[in-house]
Amino acid sequence: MWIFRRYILLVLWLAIADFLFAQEPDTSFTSLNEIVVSAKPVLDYKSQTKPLSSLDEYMEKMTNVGLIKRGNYAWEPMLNSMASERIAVTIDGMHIFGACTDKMDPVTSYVEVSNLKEINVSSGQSGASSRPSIGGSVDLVRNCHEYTSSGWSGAVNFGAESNASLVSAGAKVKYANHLFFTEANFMFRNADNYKAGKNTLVNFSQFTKHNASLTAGVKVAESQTLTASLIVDNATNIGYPALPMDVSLARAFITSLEHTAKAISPAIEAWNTKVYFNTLKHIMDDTKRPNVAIHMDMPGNSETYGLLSNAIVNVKKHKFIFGISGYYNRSLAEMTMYPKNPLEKPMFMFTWPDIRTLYLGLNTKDHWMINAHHHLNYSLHAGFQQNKIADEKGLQSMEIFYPKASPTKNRFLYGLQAGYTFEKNGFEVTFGSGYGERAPSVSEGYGFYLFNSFDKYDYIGNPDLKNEKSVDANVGFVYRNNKVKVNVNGNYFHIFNYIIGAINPALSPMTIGATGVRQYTQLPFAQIANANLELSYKPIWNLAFKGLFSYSYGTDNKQAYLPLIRPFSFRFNVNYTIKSFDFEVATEGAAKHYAYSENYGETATSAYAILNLSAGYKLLLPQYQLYVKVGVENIADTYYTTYADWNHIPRRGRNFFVSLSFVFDKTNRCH
Amino acid sequence: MKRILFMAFAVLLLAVSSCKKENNNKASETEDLTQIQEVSNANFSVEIWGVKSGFETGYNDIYFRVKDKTSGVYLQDASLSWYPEMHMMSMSHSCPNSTIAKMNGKQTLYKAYAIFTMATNATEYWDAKIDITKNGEVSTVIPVLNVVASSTKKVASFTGSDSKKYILAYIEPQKPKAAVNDLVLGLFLKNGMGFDAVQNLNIEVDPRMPSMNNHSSPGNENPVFNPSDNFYHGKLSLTMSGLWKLNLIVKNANNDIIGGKAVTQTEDSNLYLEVEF
Repeated sequence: MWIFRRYILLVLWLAIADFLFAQEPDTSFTSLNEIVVSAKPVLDYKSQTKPLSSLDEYMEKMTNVGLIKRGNYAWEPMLNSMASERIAVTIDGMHIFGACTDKMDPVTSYVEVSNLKEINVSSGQSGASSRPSIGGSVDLVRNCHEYTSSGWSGAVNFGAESNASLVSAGAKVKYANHLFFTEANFMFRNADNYKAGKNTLVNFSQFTKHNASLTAGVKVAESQTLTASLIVDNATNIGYPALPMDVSLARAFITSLEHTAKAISPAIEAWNTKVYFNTLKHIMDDTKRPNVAIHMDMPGNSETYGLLSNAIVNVKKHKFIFGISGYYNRSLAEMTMYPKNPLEKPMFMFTWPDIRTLYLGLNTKDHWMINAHHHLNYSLHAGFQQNKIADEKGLQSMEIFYPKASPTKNRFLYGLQAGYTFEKNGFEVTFGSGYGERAPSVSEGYGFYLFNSFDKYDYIGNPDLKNEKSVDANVGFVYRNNKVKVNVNGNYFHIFNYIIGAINPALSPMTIGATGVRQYTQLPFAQIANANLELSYKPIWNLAFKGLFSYSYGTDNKQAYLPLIRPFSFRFNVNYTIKSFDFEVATEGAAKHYAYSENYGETATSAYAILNLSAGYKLLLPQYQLYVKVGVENIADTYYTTYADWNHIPRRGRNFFVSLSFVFDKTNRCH
Repeated sequence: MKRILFMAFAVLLLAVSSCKKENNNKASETEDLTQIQEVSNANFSVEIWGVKSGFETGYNDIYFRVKDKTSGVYLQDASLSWYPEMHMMSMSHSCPNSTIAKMNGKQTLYKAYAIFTMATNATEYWDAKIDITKNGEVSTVIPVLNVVASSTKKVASFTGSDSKKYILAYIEPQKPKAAVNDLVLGLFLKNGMGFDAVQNLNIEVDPRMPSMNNHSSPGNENPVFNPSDNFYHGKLSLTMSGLWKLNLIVKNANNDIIGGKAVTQTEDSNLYLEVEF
């Protein structure tokens, strides 16, 4: 149980067919819930403050998850105070690597909440099954289909927000019978520049996004299905107010074909095999910015081919998962700068010199229910990774910094983890530990003059970096009864060979306005700790109080603070339900960020708190449901910024929102 | 057995035919070169070839072929000498150049270099007096060489702090890459109407990109004199394509500055060369 309890499952209830048979048909197009995976998901529309919010806004409410904001779009998720390089973000287990050298397109920016069923977050090594990571993994799980209903279903959704004139509109339609289903889903979002508190306009914060997905499945045999899926995500005219450049196009094609076999034998519960391909294109744009020192084009491409296969095997009290995972990624990014003097030739460089990454790994997990009170789980994984500089010119450029640079680099990556849970009479105690390794990211290994607008340094990759290694430990305590729930948990990561950029005063910056050059190097160690306290109190059935308090701490080997570590922060909600209406008062805030990293360009952020209100109404008829939600965020129009706001761009000010969801379901249960 | 013999024969035939090709195909003599001009006298016709379609200020590799007009055969054993000369309004002068030598591995191709210090204009022009010596007889042609200004600064003339007149020329890389390139510079001292290669001075190179706020590159090595070709050889690393300015300082053995100065926040060296790709 322990391992599953560590997953925080946020269920986005989109599978309309499913909810007919749920006990409480109380869902909407995009409601979100925190559940325990082993239990039947409880549909709780009321817990959703803003049903049509972006995936980023959903993730921001998750424990141990932080989001780095460079604008109003494509926030970069952090888990346990670790960002993209140290965590594995996947879509249904598929590896996708952002095509932007400046992390302007995290994987999460290429999907929509309407594509997803739930988000699995696993901390530390418990999530490192399909790709080695240090901080953990975030898997965005897509809708699945059970072949238990037939007929048509669908939904139409509309959301509007006063701030940034944000409009969200989407539709979905699904047809199913006992052998076949197909589902089409479309979502559109458009926002102008948003206003921060005190009526402050934040220029270059607009975006437009179209997302379409198509899924079709067929039952090829009893207990065997084949599912094909395609997501096309196309975002244009995206402003990044915290950065010196915007993005004219961020486009993804994400495809997969999956075979699932269930109940193969009494022991083999399921066997899933998936092949996938995705390609991303990302084009930065500075043509709309005033006073550009030098105009430049910075296109980036990332393609990934992959294979996943997992078998779930039950042997007595053990539930084993055996898996293989492989992928091949190609990352290529370049920069062309146009001198002011038109007679001079354009200046060109590869910023990611066609880096090929091949990964092949094996993993196994066991969840051992020793008895009703004691559970043990453990996992092991091992993988091989090869990086290759495929472009000869790229290698020659690297040789400027590393005369002995080799075009290929091979690594073996290992990890293991064990955890124990004891539960009795509403008390639950968990503790665990793990060891893991990761390879440097493409930027860390091979990036060429990548400008970081946060600390104003150009970064040069280092192909000779060793594996980063981490030992982590976690402990948790839960008490729950009918009215009260207390959850205290914490984790600690001791990271060896911690990869970070070190100033090389001998190097001259390339980017105009940069302070200097940092080369990726490794500290002997760094340490990161995260702690959370969750309190829930439900005095009567329709009134709930909930509080979440979080604190993180991170230092390097010289006790200097690491950048982007969350200060003490809190969230507090009161929910009240009466008949078809529900109401929520929520507040969130943070203490002053004292533990900032001066070395990496951070400055202190002040304490803040904001207040949000929302009210919802639902109309439930046998085949139709209507959900209406209105609310206001940041009522006081507070001007504030947090530790995770790149260059301290201010967050949104007062915002009124309304969302409407109309759901129809004309399916019948298959016999 | 028959088959093996046949194969062996075929291979042999192939080898012979490819050999023949190399020997007889005159195009391969001037592969990758462009004929710039042809000049003749009563006995000989001299073809002048280059890497580009014309001459530019700075370092130029110049190739020659001489045809005997009576027999129509290209000479393989001629002795060629030359004197490139600038005819100005009031005076004439030469430029740093090499002797003309037969190229290794070529039958009829001869090569020299010249470092043209200025471009042809309406009233001033370059010519080259070429003497062809065959069987003890000397025959002369004097083609006019049209030299255009290079788009980048490839040669610098300066008067040193020692009051001597120097010429500093960019020679390699002719095909620069975003990589660590082999750098070759030529340094010459004016001696009367001619020039002597300088070997006892030191050259310091500070490559910068003027359009990138004077971005510079790591891994450069200052060129040092190499007696095999009388040029200075070093390393030039270029982090990207575009226009690079090679800021130069020439020093003597006592570390006194003869020419140029260090780059500062506000000023580049007054002695520089350029490379663009």
